Amino acid sequence: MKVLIIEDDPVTSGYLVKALGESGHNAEALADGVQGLHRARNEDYDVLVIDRMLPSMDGLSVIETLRSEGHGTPVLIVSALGEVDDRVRGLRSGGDDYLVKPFAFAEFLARLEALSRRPQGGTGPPQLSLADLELDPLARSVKRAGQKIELKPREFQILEYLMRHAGHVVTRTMLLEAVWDYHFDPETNVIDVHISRLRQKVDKGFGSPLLHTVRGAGYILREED
Amino acid sequence: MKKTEASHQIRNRLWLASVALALTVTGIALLIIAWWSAEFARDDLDEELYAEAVELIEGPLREGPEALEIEIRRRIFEADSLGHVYLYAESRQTMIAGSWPTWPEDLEQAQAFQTLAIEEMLSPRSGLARQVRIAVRTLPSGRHLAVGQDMTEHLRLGEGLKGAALLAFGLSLALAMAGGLLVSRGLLTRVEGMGSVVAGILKGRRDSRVPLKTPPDEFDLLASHFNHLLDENQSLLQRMRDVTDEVAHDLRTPLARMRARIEAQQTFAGEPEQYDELLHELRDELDRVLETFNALLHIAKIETGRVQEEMVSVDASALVEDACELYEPAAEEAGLTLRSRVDPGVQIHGNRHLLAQALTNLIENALKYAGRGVVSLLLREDKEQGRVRLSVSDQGPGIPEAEHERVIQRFTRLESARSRPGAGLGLAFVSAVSELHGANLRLEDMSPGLRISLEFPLGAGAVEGEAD
Repeated sequence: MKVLIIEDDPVTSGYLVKALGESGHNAEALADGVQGLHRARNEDYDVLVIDRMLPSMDGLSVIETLRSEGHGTPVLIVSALGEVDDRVRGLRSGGDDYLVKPFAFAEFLARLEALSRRPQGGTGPPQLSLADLELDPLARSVKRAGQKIELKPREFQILEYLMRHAGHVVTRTMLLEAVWDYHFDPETNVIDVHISRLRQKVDKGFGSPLLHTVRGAGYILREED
Repeated sequence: MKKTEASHQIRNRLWLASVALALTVTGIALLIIAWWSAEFARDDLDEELYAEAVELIEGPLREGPEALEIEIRRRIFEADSLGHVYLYAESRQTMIAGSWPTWPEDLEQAQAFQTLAIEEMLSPRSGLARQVRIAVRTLPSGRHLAVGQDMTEHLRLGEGLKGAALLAFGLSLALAMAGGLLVSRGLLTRVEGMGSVVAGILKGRRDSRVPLKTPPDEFDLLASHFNHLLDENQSLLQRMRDVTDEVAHDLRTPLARMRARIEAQQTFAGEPEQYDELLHELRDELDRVLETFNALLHIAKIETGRVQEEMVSVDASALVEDACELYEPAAEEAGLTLRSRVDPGVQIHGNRHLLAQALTNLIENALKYAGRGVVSLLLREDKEQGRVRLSVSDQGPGIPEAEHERVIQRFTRLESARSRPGAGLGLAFVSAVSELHGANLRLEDMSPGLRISLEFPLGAGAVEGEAD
């Protein structure tokens, strides 16, 4: 995945470039809004990471300019401004996701990967499947090895989200945002219990487990090799 | 404080204005009186003279010219030689009878009323030249009759009036000066009183207030508003100082702890694994500091009302049910039961994200401190009272009544909770959100257990909700 990071704090951008490199991605960083806009126009990236406060041109203007020129590259906004209205303004300007500083790298990476795979327009396949697990979003039904599994509405939403991001790490915060529309992290680890209940229904009694916990990051739905 | 120039001081301007006003009014009044009384006196005299002339003409003259002559001579003889003047003449040169031997040159024979100054006859009392008012009549025979009266007494009255007027003028000037001085000084003393209170506050005497009188006048009303403003300001300052102290304490403690840990590691250089462990610990500790910091900023932002624009109609029923559903498995895991009883379709005018976070704070507190039993969420719409009541109650140890007020403050953590994680900002956040929504936050002791409830007004929000 090729990533452009437009961020004026050299420590943050240096760390992100290095960590992305170690995760097998190709990242470069620029510290200036205008330069960043210029580079994003002229080269192809899978994802752009844009800080809100930048010298010479602020992040939201960079995004608005890109969008008005027809560039559809997914954008992850990173910002120290974490209030709900800041987030809303960020997404309204054309950003695809919003991450509040400080953040864990695992969270950052999970969101980048989710963005880079985001289907550009369209509503995804009518039927989702992984190994012998099948999910029909329209019929709201789930089957494993041909056997129907009864899920509560929330459990269904969690599984659908995991299946749409199959093979990639999904963090607790991403699930809270996607399923509950909560843009804050509760103190209690509420998501873990929901996942373990879902795991009881989806994995228990079937061959190999599909729903895995990634320590320090979140969860991943994938086939064991 | 800067002194104003004397000419710009309100006291002097006020004083000058009052003096000028008093002088103008008395001056005009006295002028009118003096002019009017002089006119009146002369008219009166003229009438008298005219009447006497007519009396002489219609009485003795009818009997014959000699009878008039005799009557005039009799009157001259009887009259006070100084008071009355009679002249009866054939022409200017030929006198028939008269108080004076000749017809005065200045006296016109054709003019009805005249004032004549007689210089050789000085009045013994006033020392003024005598002024004689004379009425002249021409008789059908062509002779001239003049009847006059000494005006000096009238003039003396006028002089007296003038003196009295000047005296009154002077008196009113003195009164206006003194009164103006007193009034302006009185007003200015009040203003300066307020000024000195402000100066005192600027010098650090924050408790000083403007003294009030009863019954209050306009200045007291102003002063009471002013005092109220000072009170408000002081309580704000106090709150800010409290928060600063709390922040300093609650952020300094973990930072000092981190510093100590780092220094210890540097002093007793250990194994590489220890470094790893240290870094992990430091990161966790820093995360907590950042979380506290963010929570404080968030509360401050809500308290200053800077999120007002996001207020919309919120589906409170769905909000409570969602939260219940989110926490229900975690509660069960912890050996508690989380239940909800929710009226359907309840709308609250507010901010969904803040309300959700406040509610989850309450649920988390209940789960954390109750430890056992049932935690119930309740959402009731009371249309008659126009209120929506949202409450979270538990069956735990509760909070002593005396502490209810205190636990809402920032960083308050009861002794029993010291050992558990948390920054003590949960209820402060709920309180800020509650205030933003115009709701009442109430803590009730359920013995056993605690019930925390928020009572929202069922106002514009509900109407908007129906319109949706």
